[in-house]
Amino acid sequence: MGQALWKINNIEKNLEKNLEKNTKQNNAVTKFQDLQNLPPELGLAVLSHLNATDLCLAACVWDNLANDELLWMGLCKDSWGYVSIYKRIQNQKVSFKKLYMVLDEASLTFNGDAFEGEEYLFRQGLLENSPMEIAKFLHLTKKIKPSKKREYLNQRRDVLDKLVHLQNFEMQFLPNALRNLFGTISAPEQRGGLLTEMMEKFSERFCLCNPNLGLSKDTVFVLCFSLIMLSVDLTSPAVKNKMSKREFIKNTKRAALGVDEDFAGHLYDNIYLIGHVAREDID
Amino acid sequence: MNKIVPQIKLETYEKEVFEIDLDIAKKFGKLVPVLQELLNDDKPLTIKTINSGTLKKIITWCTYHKDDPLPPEDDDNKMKHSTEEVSSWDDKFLQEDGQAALFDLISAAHTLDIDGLLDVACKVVATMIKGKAPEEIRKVFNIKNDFTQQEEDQVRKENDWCED
Repeated sequence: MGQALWKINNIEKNLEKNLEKNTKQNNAVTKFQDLQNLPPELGLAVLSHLNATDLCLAACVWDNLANDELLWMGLCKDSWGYVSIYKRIQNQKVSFKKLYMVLDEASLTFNGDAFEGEEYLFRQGLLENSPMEIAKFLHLTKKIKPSKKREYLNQRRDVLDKLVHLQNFEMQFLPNALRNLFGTISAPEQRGGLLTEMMEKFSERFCLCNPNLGLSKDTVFVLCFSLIMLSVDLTSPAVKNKMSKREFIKNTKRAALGVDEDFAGHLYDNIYLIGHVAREDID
Repeated sequence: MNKIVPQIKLETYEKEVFEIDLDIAKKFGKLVPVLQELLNDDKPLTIKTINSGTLKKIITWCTYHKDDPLPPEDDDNKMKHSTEEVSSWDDKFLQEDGQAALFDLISAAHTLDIDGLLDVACKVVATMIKGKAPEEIRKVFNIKNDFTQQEEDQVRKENDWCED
């Protein structure tokens, strides 16, 4: 889209323009002090480093520049990578600045009460009510807390299914892939239905992304729980006698078919060095 | 045998001629092919919008960053907000001569198509705006408030979302 503003493609045109400018401005080298005096693409380049709040404040000073649609589009897409309304925005003439405000409101609502937030997104015509659309939205937004996502997905397993399928675990080491999953969706606090379902879907997806590992879905599923238990064991201060590497390898080999000693050892090292697969929420 | 380093000649607003190693001038993005053609020419390329002080700064910056890896040629990257922090060397270097010089530098970096310099310089200016109320921004940039009270109220109303 309008990247032409940022990168002027036509070299010659650019040069010509500059030379023309040079001859015109023969008189003096001007001292710029104000963004308004710079060529607009440079003013925009400066403002593109601001967040929404700062940009709004800057709009009180540089009205035209800071209300530029390109800037607001950048901010929208940075915070909410996907919303259904993006597909229609050209026809509907909605301004990205207004859209930012509405999406911000929606996210705040969602982070208070997930289903009120969902309702708001639908009502405002931002999001279509289909599992795939909702999953894409949750997948690409930075503004929804992982814990709220979990709360929502607990009720909407159909969306959970789509969301896990949107993740790419290609070439990732199992514990790191698991960590990425829990970074997107907070790990359930209790073992039970949701965790089991998450792990099932994750195992399936992980095997699909890494067919060359030769691990079966069931093996990955068992390994996930081994990793979660090992994480708790190694990081919890309540556990006095930590599991040794030798013990972990022995247990894992017994529980998961086809896992060799080296692989199990690497799993142990990863948790030992990097830590829990599901970090505490930093909401 | 002494190898002669190819140099390009640039003439500034003050008609001062600078000889720059091609090695350093390779930072001048899209200008490079043009400069290469001028290599055998004795006549310098005149760029009247750039003054000697600014060009000196630019040469210093390009020399310091001469061995930086080139950023990937990707249009998408330009739109994305690169979150990389400005290094303390760059920050000090860009701010030490005051604001007017910084703005001159931005405009010169644009003319010479030095992406890396343009990017850090814009970030430094953006930092001057961040977290400031409109009055403070005006003060920093020496801007007279040319809104009438009525217009001011209107603009504020439009942007009052950010005060939440």
